[in-house]
Amino acid sequence: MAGVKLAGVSKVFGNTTAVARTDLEIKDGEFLVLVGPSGCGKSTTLRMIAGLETPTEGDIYIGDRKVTNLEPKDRDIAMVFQNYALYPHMKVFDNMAFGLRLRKVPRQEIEARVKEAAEILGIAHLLDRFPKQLSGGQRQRVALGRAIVRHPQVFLMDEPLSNLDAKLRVQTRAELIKLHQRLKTTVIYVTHDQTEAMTMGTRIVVMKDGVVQQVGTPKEIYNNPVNIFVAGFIGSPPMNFIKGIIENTNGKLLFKAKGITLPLPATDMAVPSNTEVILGIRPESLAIVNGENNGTQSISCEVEVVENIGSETIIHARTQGKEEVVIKASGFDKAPQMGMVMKVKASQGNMHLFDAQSGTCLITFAILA
Amino acid sequence: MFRRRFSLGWTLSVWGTVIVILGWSLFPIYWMLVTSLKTNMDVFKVPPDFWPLKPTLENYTALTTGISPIGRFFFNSLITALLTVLITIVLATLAGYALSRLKFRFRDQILVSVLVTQMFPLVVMLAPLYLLYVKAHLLNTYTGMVIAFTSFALPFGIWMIKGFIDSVPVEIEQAAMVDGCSRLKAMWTVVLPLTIPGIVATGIFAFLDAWNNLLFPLTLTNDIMMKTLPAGMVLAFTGQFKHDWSGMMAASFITTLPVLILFVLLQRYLVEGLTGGAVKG
Repeated sequence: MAGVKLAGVSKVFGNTTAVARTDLEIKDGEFLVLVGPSGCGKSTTLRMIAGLETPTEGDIYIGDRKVTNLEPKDRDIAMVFQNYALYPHMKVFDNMAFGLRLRKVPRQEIEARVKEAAEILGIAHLLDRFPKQLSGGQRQRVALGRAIVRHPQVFLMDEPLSNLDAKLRVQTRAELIKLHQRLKTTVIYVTHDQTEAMTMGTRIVVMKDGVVQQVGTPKEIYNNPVNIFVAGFIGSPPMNFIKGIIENTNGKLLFKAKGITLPLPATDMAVPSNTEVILGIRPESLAIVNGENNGTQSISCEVEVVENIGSETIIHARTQGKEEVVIKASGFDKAPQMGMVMKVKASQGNMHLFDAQSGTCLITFAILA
Repeated sequence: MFRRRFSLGWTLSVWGTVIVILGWSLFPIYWMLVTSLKTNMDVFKVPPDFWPLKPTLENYTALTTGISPIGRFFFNSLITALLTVLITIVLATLAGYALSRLKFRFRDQILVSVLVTQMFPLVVMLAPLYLLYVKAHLLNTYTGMVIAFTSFALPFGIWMIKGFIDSVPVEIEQAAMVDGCSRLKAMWTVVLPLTIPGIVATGIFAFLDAWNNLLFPLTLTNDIMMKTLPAGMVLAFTGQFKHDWSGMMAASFITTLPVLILFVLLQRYLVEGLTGGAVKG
């Protein structure tokens, strides 16, 4: 097992910068998730660590070894690909044993390791089959098995669950977490699915346009996003954003938008009056207020769509300023009807003020109920 | 399992089409066999006999006892065709892999220029090639013939194998490299086994190209002992005053046999896809 370090690594394809100068330190045994939209550079970063792409500049270290110019085979890593990439002309056993045979591991040990991995993954009965005889989920397990038999220093996983159906994805996600807890090997995992990132990662790296936006634990990223992109990307449904201005009267901050006046908690930070900002508030931080309890802190909005998904209800509404607001409420007994005008209020969690120009987070307030 | 039911009319028309196509393809072979079992007198009979009334093997025995060295022609054909297959497969595989997987300057231009060589008619090149061969002392040599055959089989082979390698997902090769292979080893252990149908098809094409080629051996050899079967047979069975059709058909039948055997043995590789299950389909 070993940590991984990226020192000033970048990758340029022609005129396109896939990964801008990146410094990243992944601790030994950590489960680090690279997350971001398509084309953000997360897979390129992973492929550079694997040795399948050469960095344009910068260095990569696995443990204390500089591996920047080493071939993939010499890096002591194992990789799981999005589309499984099994060897179709080899049986499952041979697929899993392939890497060990290349490393001249004795036959008995190969058999023992393949059997152990197959049992962990529940594919011991499939060892005599060819990949084309397996289902998608089974193939993905074989791909995982091929990686774990090697006992590598680092596991690299490139969207390994994205080809599985929703149910299998949730199941395999839990199995991967268990597997990591059991093996304690460093994992670098690429996904575009923020739920996977939040549930699996000990730390998350959010990327956009080849640039790392924020690195932190799932909790840090969720509660204290550094900018509007991270705030909007992490969390489902995404955070609500309302454009407005700040009024600062003797240190008392007031957020104002069309039809909305929200007093904000006291802060040490000096925000001049009339600063254009974007207020960010998560759907689960908003609650519907009753008619008699509609003080100045509530936001009036019209219900457009109501999605009942069993344990919770997602309400899409529009403010007087025509901004869309999503509210996540538990249960659906008291769900409002479409077309109804209702009032909502920030009731728990955090509120964020972002600079309207740069998108940087200016202040994060804890909501006082 | 759901099985589609077809109407009687549809089934009959499908079978009718199959029989017509089979007849179209197999009748020349049948006629070659039948003619080889007739005497030269019977060959010119009108109307022709569709089955030899007095079958004879004298045309086959004449092949071994006659003055033309048919056995030598056969050997020459075999040696030049096999060498052409070997060299074409090795070169086409390496070139096809490079053109499919590696990124380098002028790759597309090279690929097109390979194809352009196929566009010249063979006849146009015979005279200059003959003059070149005289200077290079390649006339009447196996080397000379193999070079000529290979030069014609190779462009097609490169395109064919490149196409097959293109269809092998690059991730499989990358997985092999992460597992511990060098690029060359990944190509050998993972890519090549998956391109066997392409390699076999290229081999068959190169074999047929060399085996059936008439103009190269006719032009580039003047020693009768260096002729291959097609050129040798033209000289042995036809001339200004003779046309030994039944003898030629016997020799043709013997010539066709190795090609038939080759097809029967290798046809399963041509129809079988090997990449099933490699990646998510």
